[in-house]
Amino acid sequence: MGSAPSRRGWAASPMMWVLLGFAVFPFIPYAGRYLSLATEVVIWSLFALGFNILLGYTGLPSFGHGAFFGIGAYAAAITFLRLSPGVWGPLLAATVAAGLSAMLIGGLVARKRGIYFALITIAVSQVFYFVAFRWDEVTGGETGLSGIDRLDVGIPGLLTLKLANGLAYYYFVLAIFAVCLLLIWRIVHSPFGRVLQAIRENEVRASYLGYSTTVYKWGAFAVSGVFSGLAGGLYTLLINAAFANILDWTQSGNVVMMTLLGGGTVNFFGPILGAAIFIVSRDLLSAYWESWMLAYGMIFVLVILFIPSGILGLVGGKKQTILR
Amino acid sequence: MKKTLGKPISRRTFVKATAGAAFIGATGPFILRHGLAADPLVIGVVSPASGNYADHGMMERLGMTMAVEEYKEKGVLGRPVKLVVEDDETDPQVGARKARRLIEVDKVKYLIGGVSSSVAVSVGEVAQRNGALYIASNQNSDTLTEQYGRRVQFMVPPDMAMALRTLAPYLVEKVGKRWYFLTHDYEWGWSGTKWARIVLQKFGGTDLGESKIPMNTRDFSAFLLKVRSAKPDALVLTVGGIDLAALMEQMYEFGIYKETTVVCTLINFEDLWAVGPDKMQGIHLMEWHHYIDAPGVKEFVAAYKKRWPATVIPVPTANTLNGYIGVREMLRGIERAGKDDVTAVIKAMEGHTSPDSLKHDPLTIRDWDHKFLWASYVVRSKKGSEMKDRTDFVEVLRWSPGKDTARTRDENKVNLGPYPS
Amino acid sequence: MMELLSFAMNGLVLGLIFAVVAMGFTLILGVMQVINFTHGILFALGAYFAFSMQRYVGFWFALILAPLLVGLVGLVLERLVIHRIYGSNPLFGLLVTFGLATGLEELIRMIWGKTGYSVAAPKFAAGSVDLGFMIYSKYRLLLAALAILIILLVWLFLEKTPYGAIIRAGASDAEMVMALGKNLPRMRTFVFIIGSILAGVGGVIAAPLWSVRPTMGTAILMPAMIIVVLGGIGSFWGSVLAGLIVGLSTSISVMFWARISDIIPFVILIIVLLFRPRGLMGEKSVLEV
Repeated sequence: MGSAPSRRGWAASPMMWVLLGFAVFPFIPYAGRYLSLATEVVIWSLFALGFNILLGYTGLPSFGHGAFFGIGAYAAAITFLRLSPGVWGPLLAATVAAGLSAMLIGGLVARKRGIYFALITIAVSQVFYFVAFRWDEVTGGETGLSGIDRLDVGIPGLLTLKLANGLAYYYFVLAIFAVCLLLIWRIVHSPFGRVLQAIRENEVRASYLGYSTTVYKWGAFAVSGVFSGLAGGLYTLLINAAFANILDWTQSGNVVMMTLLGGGTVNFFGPILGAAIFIVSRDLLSAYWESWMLAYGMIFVLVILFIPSGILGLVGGKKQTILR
Repeated sequence: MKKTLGKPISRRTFVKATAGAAFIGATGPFILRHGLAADPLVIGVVSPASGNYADHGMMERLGMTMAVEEYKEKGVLGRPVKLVVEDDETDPQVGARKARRLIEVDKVKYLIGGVSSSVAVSVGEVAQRNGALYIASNQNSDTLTEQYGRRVQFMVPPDMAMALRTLAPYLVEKVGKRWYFLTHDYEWGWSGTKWARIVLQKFGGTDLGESKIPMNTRDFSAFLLKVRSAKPDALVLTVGGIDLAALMEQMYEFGIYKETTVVCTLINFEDLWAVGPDKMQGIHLMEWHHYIDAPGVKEFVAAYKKRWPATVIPVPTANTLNGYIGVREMLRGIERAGKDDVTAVIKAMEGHTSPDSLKHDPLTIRDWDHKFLWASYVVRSKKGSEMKDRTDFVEVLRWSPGKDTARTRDENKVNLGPYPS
Repeated sequence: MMELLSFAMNGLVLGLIFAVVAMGFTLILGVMQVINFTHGILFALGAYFAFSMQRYVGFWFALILAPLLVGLVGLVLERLVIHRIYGSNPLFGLLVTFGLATGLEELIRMIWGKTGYSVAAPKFAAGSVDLGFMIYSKYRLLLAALAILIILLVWLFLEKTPYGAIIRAGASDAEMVMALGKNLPRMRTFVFIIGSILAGVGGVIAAPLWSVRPTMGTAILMPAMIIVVLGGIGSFWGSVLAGLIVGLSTSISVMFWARISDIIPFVILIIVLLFRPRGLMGEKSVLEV
């Protein structure tokens, strides 16, 4: 992939279009009403983009990243309720907790590949799920933690943003998303990112070239965990609560699906498209048909079988998938 | 690295296409759901259609539809009433998302539904933050009128205090005073055992101990061995969902039913229907049963059978009744309030009594905790040979009025908070 | 001490059910490198078929027919969908089988309804028997016997028949099988059918214990995954041994601290993997390339 500003200038870069699209969304008649759904799309896009550092760029099939999203979500909730009610405190806690956990777990799994990698990530994320589900005293168990308000942010005296307002929170999340989008772009286009792609293409060769591939994989795991945790924290503030179901392996499956569906394996922006389509269609589908899970399952199957490189892979004209 | 991008797409086309799709995607369903007809009064239902409580959810929705159809002719405040149904997937996160969408996009002000108490907590939170009314139709947790009590929320079914204060005195009198407890290890389970113990202690009974059963336990043999060595007069269990079905199978397998009286502190017809008479012998507490001889019940059952001739369960259950009564009382509240305003409706419902509760005592909606006060029933499950038809699972032994068994102001210091502005 | 013994027996019986299910899972994983998420729903289908059949044919015929029907379903799934993702990224197998499992769960709800059902144990196995040191359920003893029988049959097949040997070879290196001139696609289909049948058998024998519900399959899937990795992917005895370990540890931990009993198998897995990265009895396989 080329570098960020194309020769036609910033106005033509996909990044501008994506952010612009999100920015004007609330003003679209009728559609703009789906404000919290749109906020979810932005949050999950962040999650999926971070996740794609591991999946699309490094080629590691983690099926347990829901754990980091969930750790971030709970860290934010617990910080708000027990330590410091606010906005930045919980978000910082979310990012740090998830990042540290990802570093810890990454150390365990970085040596693995392929099926083993996938299986172990599932197992580890299930441990976190059970802990959240059963440790009632800390996580609220089955009922979860609720009553997490969105307070105000801003510079005292100069500017305050009342995040309790849905529209204000949407733009707040979008701003954070924009910053992360740039950050992730920078990461994957840096020398670090290039080594990740080399590892994806052929890990053995990359190690022959002198790179300590385990360390790089570990790094990718940790970095993707950080963004997943931040997304989780933002999600807690959106729904004013944290629930154990967020850590269930089906959520990890959802983020994998989103990333693949949009074309994350062939395009940087794939995860964003995938998140949007996945969340919106799943929501609408379940509103219309009581047996929506049947269609949902079939769509999974059809997408994997016929458009494995996702929608952007299709639109780009290449059906080949780069993951082996 | 080039091969990873492929042919560049026309960004304009892409953006246009996406925007167009989003527009159609958003407006289409909206139009489909509400129609362009007269401004209907919309009630949002957030109820499980998948997940562990799908069967309970199905039964409650049947009752809700029956209630709405009673208003088909005259409407409410001159407007037709419409139900919009969403699947909460027995998941608090999904339930909250659906509730938020109903409120934000469909502009719904009245929500009802649910079987899982944790989903009720999250949906109630959304309702409260948005000034919408929420009726918890089929959850049984005490917390919904206490820690999670809200001014916008009402609770229809009896809670565990009401259930146990109806059931436990009967047990002490007729079954015995040595009890062992099986507690589903989460909030609902704990509250059932707690109230049972309170009554037991009041009557000077013996508490032989408790086993906490984690959710999603598959194998109960370990717990049943403990029960066996305790040799209780009554095995008081507060276990629900799919775990209850597995537990009943295994109690039957181990012959527990022959050794002690099994007592379910709250059991649903759907549970009995699933396992059959052999596997749930004992004395239980039910919220309602279609064969009780209260006024209006026969007509209600007949109306159910006429309206739903092809459903799996041929008779209405307590879930059906609660769904029906919940919607009905909400609509009556709107009528009494005279306007489509949530605060006015809440005030119209608070303190109201409806004699036609389809139970032996009239239904009262208490003002300070928003609890629906009405009876619970102690039943004995019949043997297969005693059943006159395949739905005749139980014989009613006793009932207690809701007013007598519900928590008093001393026992519940809830402050529901302000009315929505 | 008596109590520990009873818990241990329960654990072994539970472990045997797990082992039967995990065996199928590990074969599919070993031979086709597919993490078969439909294993849970095939388990549930076994129970549902048994439920529908039992009033017409009784327990024993249901025990034989229902798994065969599940094998048929497995055949359809494999031929229609699953074989298309062999050799590709493991995530595809996961996602495809996940999608199939989700769709099938809904299909079960549509066909059999959302309510639960009960499968009766055979009459002679109802009730308890006095073993001297404890009173135990007859059905569970029957179940243990059946599970042991099935394990033996599968072992005999894998060890003593030529086709079984080919499958065992395929579990560590599928392409070598092709190089030897054997029909790989057909073998894979066969393995999937066998795996499905084993899952179905698990469902039939577990049904009288756990009750029949659309969501019953999810309870077996995660243990199956742990057992397979713990025992070593593709290893027959590994899955049996790991199944027993998981069953025992779950049951005994209930004695001490029930709340964490679900987490214990995971902890054991992680500890074992730290010292033996391929699991207890795993061998170096093509999965690691």
